[in-house]
Amino acid sequence: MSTFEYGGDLSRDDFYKKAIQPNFPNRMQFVLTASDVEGQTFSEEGMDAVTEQIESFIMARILGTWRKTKTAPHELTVNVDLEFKARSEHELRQGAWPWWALVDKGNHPLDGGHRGEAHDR
Amino acid sequence: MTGDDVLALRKEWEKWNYADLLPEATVLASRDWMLYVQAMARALPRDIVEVHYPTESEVRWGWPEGVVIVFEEPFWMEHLIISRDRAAVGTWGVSTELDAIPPMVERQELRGMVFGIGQMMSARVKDTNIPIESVYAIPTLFIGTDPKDIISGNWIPGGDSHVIHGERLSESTVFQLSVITALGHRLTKHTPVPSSGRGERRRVQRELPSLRMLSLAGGASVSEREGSPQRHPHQFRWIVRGHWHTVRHGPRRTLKRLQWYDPYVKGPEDKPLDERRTVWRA
Repeated sequence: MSTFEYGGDLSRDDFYKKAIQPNFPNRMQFVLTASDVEGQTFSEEGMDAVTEQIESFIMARILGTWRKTKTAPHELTVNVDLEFKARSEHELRQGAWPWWALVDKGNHPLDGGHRGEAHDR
Repeated sequence: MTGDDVLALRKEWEKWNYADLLPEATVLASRDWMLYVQAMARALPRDIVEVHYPTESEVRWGWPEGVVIVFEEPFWMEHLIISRDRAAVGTWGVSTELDAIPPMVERQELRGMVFGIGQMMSARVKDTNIPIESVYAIPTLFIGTDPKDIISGNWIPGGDSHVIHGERLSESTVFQLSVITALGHRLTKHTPVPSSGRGERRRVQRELPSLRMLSLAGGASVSEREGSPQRHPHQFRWIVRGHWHTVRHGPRRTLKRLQWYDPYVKGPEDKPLDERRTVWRA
């Protein structure tokens, strides 16, 4: 299975030109990754790009199949198998502590705390 | 405090920007258990210049995902404060921008305490603003009765925390060491949280299934022999003194850690713990 990763090296047009070839595989994986900002999921732009690309892929494969079989295809089946990755709470919390401990020049940790004022979420 | 009170307090805390750092696991520290921990803290000499923290396994630490401790009764605690939020930023939980300040003892009325997940913590070299990624630590957070008032610290498992020259070991560090030691101690037992009825029990079970109460087990306490006449029936339980000891261990005994040697609780198990009878100083 080939993979098209949004934002990767291949442009949308290049991808379409490849997918329209008669022997291009019908199985394709589309991957969308959200930004690194904690608590944010996929952008609207990213979602649009992926759904458009899936549509382009289907169109390209209809035309590619037609060229290969020399007859118009008359049935289309799409199997959808979505996979998501989400960071575990453990990963999110790890490294998220917004405070620096204090060490002396010999790198020995020193006693003491940080007093802060919490804000509304 | 009942289960509903703990739920309400957690909901209040979840409105603040440290909400994402609150572990799901929650325990309610009963008054008796707190007296025991405070007595442990008082037994540690305050003039030592370094604290040898135990490792997670040495204290049978059972909270790899962290734990929230709610104190049944708020109490005052002294901290040694070494930094504050940078005034212009002031968004704790989002930024690590802070202002180093000269060490200062400050009081806080404590409502709860949080132990986070063990991680590599950034550290700042004293008298500089040079951050380094250096310390494996379990971050801690003290939450005041005013939930805006938060103080963060850390526990360095198997490591030392040195007292800043010219300062005294902070009361909060001593207390933290006592809590760490007491949580996995055989005298600590986990019991259901008090509730007013089945509705409350169900609510707690649904919303915070991990919630338990930390109570004091009787341990080897009851010494009355069967058949022996009891001159004065005891109305209370009391603590017979325990003590801290620096234990050398590891290769050629080069490592040190502070080990708590048990006190024991004496008196009938169904009677309340009496602070006044605690015998701490010989």
